[in-house]
Amino acid sequence: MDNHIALDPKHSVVVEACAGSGKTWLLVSRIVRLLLAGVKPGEILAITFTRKAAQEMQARLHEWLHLLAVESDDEIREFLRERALGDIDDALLARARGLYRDALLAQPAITISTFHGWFMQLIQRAPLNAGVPVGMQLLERTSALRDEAWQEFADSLRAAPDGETARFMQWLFAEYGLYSTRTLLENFVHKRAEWWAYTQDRKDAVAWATEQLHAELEADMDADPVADACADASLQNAVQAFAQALATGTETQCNNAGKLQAAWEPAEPDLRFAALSFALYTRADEPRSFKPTKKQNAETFLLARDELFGRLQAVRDALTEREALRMNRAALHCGVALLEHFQELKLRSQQMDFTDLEWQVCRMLNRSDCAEYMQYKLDSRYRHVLLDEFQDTNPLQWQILQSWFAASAAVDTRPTVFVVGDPKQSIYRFRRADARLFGEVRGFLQREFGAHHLTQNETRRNAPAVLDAVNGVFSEHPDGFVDFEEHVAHHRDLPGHVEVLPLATLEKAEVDVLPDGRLNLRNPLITPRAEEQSGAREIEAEQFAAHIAGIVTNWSVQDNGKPRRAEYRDIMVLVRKRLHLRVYERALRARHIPFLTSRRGGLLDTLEAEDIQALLTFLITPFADLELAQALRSPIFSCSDDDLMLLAGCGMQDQGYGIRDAGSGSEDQGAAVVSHPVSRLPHLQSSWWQRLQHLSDPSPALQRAAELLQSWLALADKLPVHDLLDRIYFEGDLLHRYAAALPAGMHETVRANLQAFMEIALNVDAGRYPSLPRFLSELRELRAAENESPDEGRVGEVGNALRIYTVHEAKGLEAPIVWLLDANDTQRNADSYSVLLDWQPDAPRPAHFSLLSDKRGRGAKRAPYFDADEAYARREEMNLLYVAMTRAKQVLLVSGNGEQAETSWYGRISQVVEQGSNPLLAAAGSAAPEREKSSVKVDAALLRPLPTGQHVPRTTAQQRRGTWLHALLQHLTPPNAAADKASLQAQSGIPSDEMELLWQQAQRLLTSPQLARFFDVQQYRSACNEMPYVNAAGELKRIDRLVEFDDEIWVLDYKTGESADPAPYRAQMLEYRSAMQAIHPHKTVRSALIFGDGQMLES
Amino acid sequence: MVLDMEPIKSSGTQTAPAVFFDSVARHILAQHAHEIPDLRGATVLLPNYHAAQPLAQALSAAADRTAMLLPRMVTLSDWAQSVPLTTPIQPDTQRITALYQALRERRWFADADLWSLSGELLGLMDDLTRHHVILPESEAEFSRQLAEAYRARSGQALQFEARVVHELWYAMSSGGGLDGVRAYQQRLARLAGQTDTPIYVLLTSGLSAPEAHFLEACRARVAVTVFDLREMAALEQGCVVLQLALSAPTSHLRDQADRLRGHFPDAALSGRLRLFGAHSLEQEARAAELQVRRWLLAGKQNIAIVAQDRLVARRVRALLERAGVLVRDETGWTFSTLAVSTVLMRWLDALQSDFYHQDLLDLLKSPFIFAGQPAYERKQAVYQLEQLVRKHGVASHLDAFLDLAHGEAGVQTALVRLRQAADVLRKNSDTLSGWLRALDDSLTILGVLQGLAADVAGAQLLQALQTWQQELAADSTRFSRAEWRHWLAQQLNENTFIDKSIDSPVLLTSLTSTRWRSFDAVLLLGADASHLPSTDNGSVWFNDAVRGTLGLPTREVYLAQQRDDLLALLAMNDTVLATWQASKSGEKNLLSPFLEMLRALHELAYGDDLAERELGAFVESAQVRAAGFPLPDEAAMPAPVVPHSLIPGRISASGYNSLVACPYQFYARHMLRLNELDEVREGVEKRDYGEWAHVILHRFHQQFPVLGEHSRTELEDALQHISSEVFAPAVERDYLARAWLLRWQQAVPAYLDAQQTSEAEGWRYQNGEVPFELPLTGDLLLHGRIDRVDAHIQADNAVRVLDYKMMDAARLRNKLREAGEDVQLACYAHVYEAGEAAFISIEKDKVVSVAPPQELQELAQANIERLLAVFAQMRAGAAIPAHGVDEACRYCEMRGLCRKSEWSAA
Ligand code: SF4
Repeated sequence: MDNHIALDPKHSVVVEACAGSGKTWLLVSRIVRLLLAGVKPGEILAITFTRKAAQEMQARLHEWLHLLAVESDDEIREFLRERALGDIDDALLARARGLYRDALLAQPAITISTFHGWFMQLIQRAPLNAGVPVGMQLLERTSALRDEAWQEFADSLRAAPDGETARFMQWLFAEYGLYSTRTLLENFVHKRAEWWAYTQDRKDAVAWATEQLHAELEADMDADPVADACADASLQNAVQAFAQALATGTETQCNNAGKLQAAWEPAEPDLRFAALSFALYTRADEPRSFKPTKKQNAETFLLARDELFGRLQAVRDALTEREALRMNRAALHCGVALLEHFQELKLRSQQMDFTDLEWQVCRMLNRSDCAEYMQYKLDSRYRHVLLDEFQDTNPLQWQILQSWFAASAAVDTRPTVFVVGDPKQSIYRFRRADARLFGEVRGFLQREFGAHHLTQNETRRNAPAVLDAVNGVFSEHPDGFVDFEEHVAHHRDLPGHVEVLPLATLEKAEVDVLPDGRLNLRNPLITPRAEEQSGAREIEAEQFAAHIAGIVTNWSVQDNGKPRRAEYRDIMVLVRKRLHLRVYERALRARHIPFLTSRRGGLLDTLEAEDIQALLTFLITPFADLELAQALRSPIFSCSDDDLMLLAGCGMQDQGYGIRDAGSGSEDQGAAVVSHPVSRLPHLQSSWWQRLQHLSDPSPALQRAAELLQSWLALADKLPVHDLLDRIYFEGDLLHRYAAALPAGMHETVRANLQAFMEIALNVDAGRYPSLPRFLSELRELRAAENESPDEGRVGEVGNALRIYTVHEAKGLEAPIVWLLDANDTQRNADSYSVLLDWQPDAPRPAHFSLLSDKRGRGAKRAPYFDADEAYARREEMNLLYVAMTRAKQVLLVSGNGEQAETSWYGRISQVVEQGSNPLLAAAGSAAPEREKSSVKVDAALLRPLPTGQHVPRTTAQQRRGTWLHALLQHLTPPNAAADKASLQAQSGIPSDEMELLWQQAQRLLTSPQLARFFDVQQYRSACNEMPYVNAAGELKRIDRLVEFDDEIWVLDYKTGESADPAPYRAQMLEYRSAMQAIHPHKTVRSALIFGDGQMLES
Repeated sequence: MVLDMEPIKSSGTQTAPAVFFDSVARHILAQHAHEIPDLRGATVLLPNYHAAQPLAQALSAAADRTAMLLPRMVTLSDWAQSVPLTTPIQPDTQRITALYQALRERRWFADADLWSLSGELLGLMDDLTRHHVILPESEAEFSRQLAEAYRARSGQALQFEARVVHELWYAMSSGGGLDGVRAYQQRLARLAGQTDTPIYVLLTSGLSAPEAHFLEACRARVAVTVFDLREMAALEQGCVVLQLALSAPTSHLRDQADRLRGHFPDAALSGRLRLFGAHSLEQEARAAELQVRRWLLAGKQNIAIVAQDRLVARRVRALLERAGVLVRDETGWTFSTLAVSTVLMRWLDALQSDFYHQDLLDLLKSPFIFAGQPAYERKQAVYQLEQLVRKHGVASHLDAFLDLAHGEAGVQTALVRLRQAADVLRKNSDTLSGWLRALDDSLTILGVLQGLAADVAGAQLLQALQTWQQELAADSTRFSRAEWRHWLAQQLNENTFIDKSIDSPVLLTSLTSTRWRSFDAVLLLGADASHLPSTDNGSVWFNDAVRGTLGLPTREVYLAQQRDDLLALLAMNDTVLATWQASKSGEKNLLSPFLEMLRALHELAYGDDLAERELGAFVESAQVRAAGFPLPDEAAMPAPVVPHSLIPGRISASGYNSLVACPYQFYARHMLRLNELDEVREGVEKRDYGEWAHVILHRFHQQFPVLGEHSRTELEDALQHISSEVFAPAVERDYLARAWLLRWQQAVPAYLDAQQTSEAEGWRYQNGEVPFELPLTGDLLLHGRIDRVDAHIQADNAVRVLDYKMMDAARLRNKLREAGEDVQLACYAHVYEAGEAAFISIEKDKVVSVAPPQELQELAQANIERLLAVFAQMRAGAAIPAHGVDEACRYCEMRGLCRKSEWSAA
């Protein structure tokens, strides 16, 4: 591929680059070239698919600019040459060296972001009149809100049980049941952007959409297809004809003929039709197979057969279309109603989710004036737009970009556009991405922007061995994988290996015969029940785990050019769906292989997280016995079953004795006893907690538990959740205790999980109005929220762990060793109860939008859409496989279970790979051993507590009054001009109920004849308040009031309240005096304490 | 001058800062040589009062006098405060209310959050005032200005923006009230007019507009000297690297580096600044905590934690407290994040949700409610209430709870108080102060007032509420409950609480408040690109170009300020560790560009990238641990031996099933007698469905023991009717219950078919929902309830026991496949000496009877024998294993007790 063109800032370019060909390299290089060409950072907009990718791009850019700033001229020349820069003069060098600082501190900075990140910027600056709600927050988790919306929807129905919506719902419930109905409506809500686009500026959207569908299905709701057909002589003839044809055949055929005849008997159309169907279709509603025998006249037989089936099928289709229409009418109506609740709910809480965000931005930019406004409203003016992973873009996003380009052309100049992507890697259909866009956009950019189109099939990632497999599988363009071209390896001598492991299959489990018919039942105390043999997968899992263990002991991988022993972190395991992950994880655990799972939402279901939740639940509901018991059994307290039985036991004799309050905390140590005895509290019948507190001779473990729980109960009131949790972790010595209780293989995972849990608490506390009960109920919500609940802690980051990803997650990642698990599975769950859509990439809106129930409800009229969908799905399946295989740098391992399926990934790969020797195994001997951690010795003092700082007692009312009085006096006495009461109060923050008294005190002092000489300007030479001075020790001190007379100086110190013994103040006053003396050596310095009651004591 | 100033501590001996203060001191002394020792003739404007002490010290050192009267040392805002004003100041609470009303009237923003919008606008207005921007008379002219500034043609959107700002600006300024910003300006103006002493200013960054104005004015009367730390640092060789790296570039990195190496060979920061990149939040926090303790051990007297990232700061503080190190927190926490405002908001939640049980219980569990009553009484009451609520599944309505609590004095009184408090707030609209008064009353009734008053933060919150109420007393605008709540939330969000209750050498503070301050050591927390410079996601008003031309500060200025503060911090302090998360949940996370710049230059010049290397190794090992209690042994499968006293004397069929599935589960349920808390269920669930189905069929057969005697339609109508009756209450509560009803009704015809067939076979309904107790031995009794018993008309006293199951036949067959794994039918058969036993599977429109494949009598026999054998063994001291199959464990509530996942992996 020609980098001269690709990186030339002047050109718009579309690059179609295969996996591992260094898209990021290309993109960032282009950015560097732009900057070199004098483009301002603020003029660059780079958009990629994930935040992770954006961050990495950002990092890579800094890295390179740094390199340009610091490296030698020669190195820079080389660097620039690699990026297709020819003659490099000193001016250019100088510029290159400057880029680092300029880019780093530039304002506005370069924008490297995701679509959503960028959209958010747009929304925040959206024109106020665009109808975009102002001040919205982005909502990442929606499931809680969706449930709420569903509930509100239900309530609205309850309010109007005879309304139209309710009637439609009734019908849906009857036809499809609660579960499927909800699925259908939720899926509709999920596809709302498409719905809005489809029905844009239609008055009655539902009516219109239904009309469209009605027309397409050509369903005649008034006609009765069955009746018509049964009345129709031609059908009768067809039946007769085929019956006769059958009658000429074998005995069974004759029987069938008879059945067919009989089926026509009933006069009542529905019965007749049912009978016919029964005779000709299987239970599964598949046409029964009828074949002519040798003796029969095949031609007439088949003619008659197909004629008949044709006619019946027509009727059946007609019925299906009618049902489809009915369903859509009802479901669209209800779906829209549900949608309204959902949107309303988000609006109320000032939130919008990604879909809303996209839609709002799209709407906004479709208004040309808004689009233009945005052009100058942002601080940055993009003159160069770079789009990464373009194959994952969806139509809305593309529309947004288009309007953006149009507007920028209108405002000043049209940007150059640089698009990188690979249709072969488009796997985000479920996120509404559309690979077909790529072709469209290429065309568009070539036409409108004179863009160049380049392709790149050389990969810098994969070893030749891996590529052979890839080429082998895809060169035939299976399932519409048409745009594949032979890949070539950049690193020709990178050792590689591809291995397809034998399929794991299940040897038939022998049927257990009862010895001499006598029943002998399993004794549960002695024999555990045998696990259900779901089998084959478990076997594969076992094979997998065993193999991994082998790899890390005697394989080697290339680490920039040098071989080293393979580690867990070198292995990436890929699955198509998470469904069966648990099985494989169990196998890994059993062998203590550390791994980073991709299973979502695992955290809160792990035992350790449940322990903490149980403990916290106990802390707010001390009567929760089971929770307490779990906490006791957990490593936190590691109590034995004997301990539990002790507690259970004393439940029996504790009737009647007074129970101390559960969880009254430390404020009533042992003392407080609830007046009435248990018997009068039926439902507070001595909880385990109460028993625990009253055990006569508890075990040390129980003892410890009782004490810690007591103190935590007290803290649960006072501390924020995170702080409480931290105390529990610490005082409970959690990390160490769990480590001790668990097998070494689980240590990192558990530690990570415990910390992940802590982080949740941290984040929740940072939120508004936290409380322990609220925290726990939020956890319950999170736990319920499918694939939105928090994930397990990431061991991978810290240590050396194997990573399990779904292929989708593995996008953009790579690893020396990649393992495709469960690769023989061919099940695709055909989508049911969802949306059927036809949105051509170039079209502004969908051409078709309807809802579908299950396979049966499809009918003939919509077949083209269904077929298109399936074709697309198959194609995407290939894309997935392509992505999966190309993650592997050196080794690709494939395993599966069950009977081999040709079209499975396993099937496809095994067909092109023959077992060869494994170079990585051979090299293992020479491999450098993995470096082990160096242990440091720690200063013992760091392991001991280090008491520092103390709590200062809250200021007493007395002290506060003192401060306030000082403030008043300071402001009321000259040289300060007397201010008015109100403003003084406000200024010195004196509460109204205090003000009066203080004011009087102040006035009393100011007016007291005895003190007049200190406050009356006439009587002294000068005075000042709050006078700071510094003493010999360099300490800064303040004197309340210093009054200077001709011959003497007075130091005044205010004291609130009645006059009292001056003794305690003597030292202080002395210090004041001597200081002042030093300053005024020729005057006598005197000092006095002045009390709130107006008394003055000279000291 | 404020009196509640922080206690000033002397902070050891620092080299770096001393230099700066010393030069300031000498300069001042030189100017006032003849006045020494009385420097009252000078005024020093401080960035904050922490600078006062070191300056005083420097002065006395330089002057070498035993005592000296100091210059006026004051922050400009405090100084301005001392100038009295004639007109009172209009508090912002009033202004924002006015703005809100203005917006509300104009109906410009349909679904916008008007309060936050008003907030934004207010900010803009103040900015305009602060920078003396006067909008043109005509709106058209203004929008022309905008268009020009935007470099754009004027369009609707632009005109609208112009209109909003212009119109409201005039609306507000016509109001005539004197707002804080204007007041400040007036005061400064007066002050400038009456200053008579030379002024010295300590700066770290550019002057803000008002300050600049003020000093300009002063220059006319007195000498004004500015000490700009940036310039001073430039001359200080220890800081030259900082200066070069952080100030605007004059030449390229390499040239700078060369120059540094050449002219300042030993100006390296190596001894002063270190950077630590952590791989996770936890590691950053631990590293920080560890470093602080190391400093303390090294005898550092005052240590600052500059928190760019509050989350980590919170974590660090907690970790430090583990080691007994308390942290003095100078930065505030917004009230909305404090427990004291939680109780308040929860109370309003409860009101709004008609006392939804979760809000209610949460409220009652707050330590601030019902103060005055001993805590354990309050808790006693709330726990009683909670148990009642869970038991009876009441979701909301105060009255409903009152009914529940009948006879529970404690609970009753609590609820009654809630009711009284609720009445106070029962109105739809009022003025803000009116709402606040009502709130105040309700809180009094709830004893929350008292509770809060006893708490430092609480007291401040109450003070704030009171102040707002007074400020708004005159305002007559009426607000709906929702609007008021929203306002309150925003207030709580914007006002912060500063905790003064801790005094410690370790201080948590923010970058801006470190100006001209020096510490023994500084820990800069969260120094990554997203926190330093910290990014505000710009206001919706204008953009930088426009702000620039209007004369408002741009983002540029804002960033420069942070850069200067950072420079000052590094210049004033010679022991600094900056930490950040180099990776965040697997994503790269960049270092602050300022520091990145600095690092690059420093590495180039002195070959040291400033990375802190040893800390990482310590982090895990150097932690304080709680006093050691012996660690637990490795987990293993439990096998308790149960004392007779705990072995139950009675067992039900389901109990027996549990015993078979997993003895430990049985042990936990029936020997420890543990079970889950009831949850308040709001929607209909499968088990409700099951229960109702049982009820329906029972009633039906009581009425129609023999179907043969009735017409099919009669039967169907009757069954349908009963069904709707039984479902009625649920349908009443929850619309979705209808779906379940429909589901059931679809099964009705099939059920009748099945029943009719079985009658045809000679079976007759005999009895339903039959409780039984059957002593098996002296000390074991089998008990339960049988769904239904049929008798056969010919085969005399042939009996059949049936059990309804709402699941498909396949699953039931599976249950029965292995003999003795599901004991229910076998037990019933034994009790009734039945010849036949079956599950009746009722799913959708299918009704099938599923019988065990084994010979029934024998099966029953074997099951009872095994039961007795197992009990005998348990009494004889057999250990009880935990070995359920995965299927059993998946939904087992005892998994936290047997801890299977801990030992099964091993
Ligand atoms: S989880 Fe499994 S092993 Fe543990 S008690 Fe429950 S059933 Fe038994």
